[in-house]
Amino acid sequence: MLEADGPEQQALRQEERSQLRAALQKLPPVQQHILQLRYGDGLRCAEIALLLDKREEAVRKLLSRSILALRQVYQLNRQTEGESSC
Amino acid sequence: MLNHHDRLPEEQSNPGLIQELRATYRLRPEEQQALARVHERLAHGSQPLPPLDAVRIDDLARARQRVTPAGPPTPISQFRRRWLTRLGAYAAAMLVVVLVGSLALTFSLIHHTSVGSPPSHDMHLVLEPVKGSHPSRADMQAASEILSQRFSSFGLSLVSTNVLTTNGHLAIWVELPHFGGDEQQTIATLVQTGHLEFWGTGPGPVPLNTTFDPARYAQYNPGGRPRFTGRDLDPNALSVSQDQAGRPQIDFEMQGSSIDAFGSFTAHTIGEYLTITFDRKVIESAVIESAITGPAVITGDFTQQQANAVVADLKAGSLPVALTVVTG
Repeated sequence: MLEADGPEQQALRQEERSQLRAALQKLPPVQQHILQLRYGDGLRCAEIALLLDKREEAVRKLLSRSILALRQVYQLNRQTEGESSC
Repeated sequence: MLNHHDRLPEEQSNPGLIQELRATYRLRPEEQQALARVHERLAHGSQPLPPLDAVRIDDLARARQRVTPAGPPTPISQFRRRWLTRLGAYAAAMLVVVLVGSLALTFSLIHHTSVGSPPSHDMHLVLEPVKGSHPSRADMQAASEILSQRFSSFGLSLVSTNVLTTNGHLAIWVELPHFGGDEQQTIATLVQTGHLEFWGTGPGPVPLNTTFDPARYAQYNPGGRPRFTGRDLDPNALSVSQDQAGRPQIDFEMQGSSIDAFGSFTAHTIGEYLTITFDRKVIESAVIESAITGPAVITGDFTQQQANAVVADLKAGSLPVALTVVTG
């Protein structure tokens, strides 16, 4: 079932995205770049490997590390925000 | 789109994060439209661009109105237009001059190359240690540096020497420009180990270009060792000159304590022969007429290029490993 977002949900989502963007900016440039290529440009690992002149396996590892790092920073940001708002 | 084979375990375990990430990167609608327009133009590169829509033309008109007031062109704008026209003409004229100049230069270079000046393209050599020897990488590196100095001393610029491993063996890769003349012989001299040795050989000369056997002259050379070597020479005094008949010869002089030692040796062997070898090949065998305490010459049997190559070898020093040219 499709439901239109209410104003509160939209505001909440905006907030989450801005936190995610802030988390992204805290990552090292190489991790930011590879996430942009993967999820912004929708490239496959093999294509990224070709573009960055790396082996596909190396790209997969770098991507995995970048996702884990992003999740960590993102969660940490949210916790800090939650604590400061209490 | 990403297929399932391409998905990482971290993507599968964090679907929410990945979805948010995609949404964060997703372009805003107006950006998507702009991108689509760029794609379209690129796809139809040779076709004229589609006409602008009414709203955009209005925007453009408004923007122009803000920048320059409407009305007849002012004298200043006419003056500027004239200047622009002139500037365009000058630029075109300059372009023509540059084009014609570069064409003339190209043809001139082609002409010169075809009438006998040495070709300028590069060649390469692969040098390996002689069979049976197993030098360390440090020795090969040292040899590579000495070779670089030799080529430079010979007068060749833009020579590169590098140690690399081919099929598990160390080798030195040399890239150098063609320099004309007897290239093969000269290169062979430049990559020689380069041991210069002075031997006493008693009352008889030793034929030039033969291989010297120290055992035959052991009585004149204590311990079967040479009396003097290239290390006793002053590198700054080494040069190539010509004798009275115009034949190339190598000028040399001893250095340090070897000056007196050579003077003393030659004073005691007047009337006997001094034989000089280069990697044990005889390059000089001449009678000692008087004590030599200053400059001397090796007359040998050199071409100018060979003499220059020997001097380059002696100036840079001998190689710590004996090399052989594998490809050239």
